[in-house]
Amino acid sequence: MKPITIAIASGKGGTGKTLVATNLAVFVARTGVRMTLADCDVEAPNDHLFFDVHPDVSVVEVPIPEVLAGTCPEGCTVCRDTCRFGAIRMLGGGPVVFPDLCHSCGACVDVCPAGMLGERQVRVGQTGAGVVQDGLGLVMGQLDVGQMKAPTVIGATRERAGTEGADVVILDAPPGVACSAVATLHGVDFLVLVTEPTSFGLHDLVLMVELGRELKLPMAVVLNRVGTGVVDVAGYCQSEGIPIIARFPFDREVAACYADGGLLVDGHRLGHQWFSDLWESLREQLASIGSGVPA
Amino acid sequence: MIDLETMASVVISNDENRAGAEGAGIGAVELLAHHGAQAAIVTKVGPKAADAFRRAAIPVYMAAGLTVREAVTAFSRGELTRLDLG
Amino acid sequence: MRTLVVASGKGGTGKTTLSAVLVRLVARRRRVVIADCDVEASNLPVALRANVVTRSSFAGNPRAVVDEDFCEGCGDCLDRCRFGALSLSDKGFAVIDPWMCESCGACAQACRVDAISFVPHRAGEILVGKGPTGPIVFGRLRPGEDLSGKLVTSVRERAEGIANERGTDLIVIDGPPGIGCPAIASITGANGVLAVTEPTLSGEHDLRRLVGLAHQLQVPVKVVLNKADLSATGAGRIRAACQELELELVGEVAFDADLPPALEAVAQGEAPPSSLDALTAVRSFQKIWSRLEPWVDG
Repeated sequence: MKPITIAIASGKGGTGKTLVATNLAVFVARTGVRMTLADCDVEAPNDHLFFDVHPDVSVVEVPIPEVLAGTCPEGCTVCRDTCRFGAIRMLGGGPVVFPDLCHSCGACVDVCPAGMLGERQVRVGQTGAGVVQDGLGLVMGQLDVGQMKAPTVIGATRERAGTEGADVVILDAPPGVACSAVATLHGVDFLVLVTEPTSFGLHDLVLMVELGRELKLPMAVVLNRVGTGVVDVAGYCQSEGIPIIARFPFDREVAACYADGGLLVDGHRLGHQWFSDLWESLREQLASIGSGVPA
Repeated sequence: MIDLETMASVVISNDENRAGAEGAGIGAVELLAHHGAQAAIVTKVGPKAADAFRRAAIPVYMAAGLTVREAVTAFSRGELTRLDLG
Repeated sequence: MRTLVVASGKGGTGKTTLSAVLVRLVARRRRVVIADCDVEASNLPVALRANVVTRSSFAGNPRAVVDEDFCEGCGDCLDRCRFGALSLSDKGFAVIDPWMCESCGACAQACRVDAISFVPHRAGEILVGKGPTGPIVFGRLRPGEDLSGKLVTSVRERAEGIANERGTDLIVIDGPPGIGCPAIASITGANGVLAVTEPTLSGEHDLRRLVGLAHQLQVPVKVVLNKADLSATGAGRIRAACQELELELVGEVAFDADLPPALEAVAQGEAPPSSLDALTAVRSFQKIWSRLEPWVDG
């Protein structure tokens, strides 16, 4: 059975995506639902800091063209002319590949008339998977420092998460609304947007809602850090018909607990209640779109 | 491009590269390689172009604040600093 | 021309808020051009209430489209696509999913009847605004688009052009979170990175990754610890990490809930800029800038 996939995202960084994703995953797993939490913020993955996991690591690689031994036909520039990214160039002594620009599409290899191009695997990052507790697995993706292919590592992370046999998969998304966000959110069953009542929070929420609509995803909002600003994010959600499924107050105790890698559901007196209520609201939303989770 | 023996020179447009999606610096180096440049004199060079120069085996010399004539003269006298391309 | 990048591996450490404080202080005594390179969620113009002066279009990768007049439904293009972007529609024509398509052209290469072509596509825009500290250049990427790195580079080039025109010798970049393409494009070739962190495990973890990236790009780093009083153990960890990585911690700024509304009030014209001087964050930054300025100027 294909798991139900819920993404936790926000345009702005630091609104509380990881806080929500980690605590929700732990809470729901304890109700008996088989969960996988996948950390798709591959540039700056943080979920693993809240758990004591010994992940089983797999390398993520991409195929990059390599020039094989031999001589190119005199004056031939077919590979260079075919590449739409300028990743293979004629620099005087034959074709030279620029891996950072390469999209691994294989077009140049296919089009070469002289069989001079092969492919080699180049490492761009890794995925890891481990057990947090009974019924909760953690999958994390990590982009190698200096590499640019975040969407590739995100794809590998989602794929790995899909093989864990869970009923529900929670994706902790990276901040932003560009290609990394699309790689994380494309095709999920539900999108939870975490925001805060500040002008930055609202500005970036609007961008995320636009992306969510383009991707045709059902959405709901978690309003975090209520009390830190006076911007009427709730009013915006209402006018856009987006349900608010939780409101968490700003609380220095929350910040302190989180700062030291603690889970709110265990370390904060209201944590368990907050996430119980959030899960209840989220389940209602899921049921209303036909993705109900059995109790 | 200047031929140091004859001092004949020709100007090559780099406009096509500037409009490209990525790697405009690399495109400039490719253009120079295509025209058979054996050395390049620059005022500054970005990391992508520097990498391309290295891979094209074209040495690069720095000449900020000089006219082309002054730079070529200084180069001929061995007065320009060669850039370490790594 | 000197360039300082305010960056942070982790999002939400207060980079943009502190950038707003920094540029307001810097601009009191010298000219500065700001480049907001967080092109996926550009917030510094919001913080400074900048007025947009010019907009230019930013072209994305041309989009691949199938001409159904010629498509024979042979499926060769499906076999060639490595990104799962192609499928056959109910009518038997090839269909390209724009979310999966990388615009690589492998499908167009495979097509025997040349039914696939590329159309220009706007991915975003570059804006030049005028704010209380002078010119601010920023980019807006349409949600879901590629090429955020290229947009960052374009924003930087525009900022440099404006700085040169005006004889301004300092550019301050408000960087994006993370360490991917837009961060790499923001940091490459800069004179220094001011890494903003917070006293949390996540903050420390991501600071280390950011420092690793800056090191690879050969750009020196100094660190500022924001919201320093949220966790004493966390602050201790950051200080220890800075020592271990041999980085100067140029300042620690306490969490101040009054800071964002105070910046808002000044931006809205409801309070004079001098009202900021009462805030501890601003006083901390006066000292921080006095340590940073000679370093940035080399």
